[in-house]
Amino acid sequence: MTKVKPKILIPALFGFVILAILANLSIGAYQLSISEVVSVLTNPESMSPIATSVVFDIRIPRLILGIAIGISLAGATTLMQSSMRNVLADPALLGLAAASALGVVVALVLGFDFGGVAAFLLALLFTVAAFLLLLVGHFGGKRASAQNTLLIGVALGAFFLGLLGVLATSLDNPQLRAMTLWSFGTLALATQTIAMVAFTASVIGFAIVWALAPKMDLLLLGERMARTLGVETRKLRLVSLLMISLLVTAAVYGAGVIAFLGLFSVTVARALVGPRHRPLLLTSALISVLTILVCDLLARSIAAPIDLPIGFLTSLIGAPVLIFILARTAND
Amino acid sequence: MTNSSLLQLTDGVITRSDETLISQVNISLEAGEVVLLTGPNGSGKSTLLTALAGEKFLASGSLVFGTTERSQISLKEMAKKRSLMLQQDEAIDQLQAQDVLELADISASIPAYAKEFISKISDNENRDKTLGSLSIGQRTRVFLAAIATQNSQVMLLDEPTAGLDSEAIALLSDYLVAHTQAGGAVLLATHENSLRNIAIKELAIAEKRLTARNLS
Repeated sequence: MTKVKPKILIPALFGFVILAILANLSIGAYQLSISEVVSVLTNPESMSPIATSVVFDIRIPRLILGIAIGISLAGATTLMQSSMRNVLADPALLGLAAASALGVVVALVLGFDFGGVAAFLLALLFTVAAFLLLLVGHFGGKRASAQNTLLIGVALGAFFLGLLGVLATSLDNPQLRAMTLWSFGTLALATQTIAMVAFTASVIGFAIVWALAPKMDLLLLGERMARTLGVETRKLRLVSLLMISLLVTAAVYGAGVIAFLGLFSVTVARALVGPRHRPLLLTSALISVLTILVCDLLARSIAAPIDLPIGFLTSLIGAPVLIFILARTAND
Repeated sequence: MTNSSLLQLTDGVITRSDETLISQVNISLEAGEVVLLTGPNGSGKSTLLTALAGEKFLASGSLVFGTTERSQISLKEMAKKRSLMLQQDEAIDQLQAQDVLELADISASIPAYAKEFISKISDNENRDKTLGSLSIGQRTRVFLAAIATQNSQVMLLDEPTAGLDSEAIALLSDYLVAHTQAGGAVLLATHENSLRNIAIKELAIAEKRLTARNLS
């Protein structure tokens, strides 16, 4: 497969992301033109309080949460696929997102607020624990085949979601309704706090993954060759595990389980730029952000005023495209 | 024992999956030596080479590089001291040949004889092909070029001629001789006669023991 030149691809994707950002700020139940959006951002006093509130309290948190999720799922999926040497690894598919979601629900059951720091930390804890369980299955005794690991992950995910469902019934009715929506993946619950926590965690996680990228590249040569070339692979795996967990938590804690986004964007990006980590991370993050922003726009518009869970749309778009690409590249 | 020993294993016990493959292993690889490693299938040649690289399988014994114990050397420093090429690489097929060479490039400077070998052994026209699209021989060429790029003092090579044509084997033979003349050492498991001819010593594994004899 010929690679696409990143020098053309990256600016093009970046341009589309900017367009999607403007569209997301302007389109919705309260319509704003692009020039009105620009005015709200540059000179809020000149605009109506409703317009200012729609942009700053609703659309910007939602936008930033979307960007944070795009970045973190691309980073987490890239890192997962490399460290597990499995191009089908994905945080949602392997149960990590479900574990993170379970952590959030446990926090709610314990009386912590949705979107608070305690919920974030519990989600992180559950994700790390689930990852360790997955790795026990992956490496336990003899190294499991890629298919076995996938099945273990799918089983873990189903188990966590079952547990989440049972626990959620003990919540108050309005909370329960919000959590049901949330567990399908939605940006509707975004607040300024959630957006900032998710964004900060995703940027920190992504920056560390970016710094690890040259070593992750060496891992593509195989564990043994990476070690003979000087990479402390065990240390690298441990840091990877923590970063994957941090990024998955950043994605899940505000918006629930958004299926297929990571797998979809990394698979498309790898087909475009190959397996080296820096081009792959950058391209997959841009594709992931673009996809989630477009999906959110659709989620808010196609059945307006109903706000569809975005997880439905990422599955509807991501799954067929993924099947198409996997079928096409199966013989490579 | 001279002080030009680059790698020395004393009283080594080589085990794999709790089974002792070779015991009482005493090896000293000196600068300037190409040494042949022989033994029947399953006798533990690959395991021994991996153990000598300081990676797993050494149940007991003292492994010293130059004058420093293996445990006192960081993996990063180890990369300059030894390289290891086993029969099958584990690289992912989507990497391009060019990527492999870039990733192996950890040496401060690559001597002219190595540069010449790299350009001859790794066909420039194939540099942007993915590993998965190469033939076995082409893939071997890429990883030999990577070993030359890494340019470590000691090279531990396990049947490095899979799929190679006679021209490539001749290139490899010349390169290994040049590398030892430049102060390196090579320990080589091979069935290829033209490579056996450049060895000055043979280490033979038999009945879980290692015996050394000079070749000439």
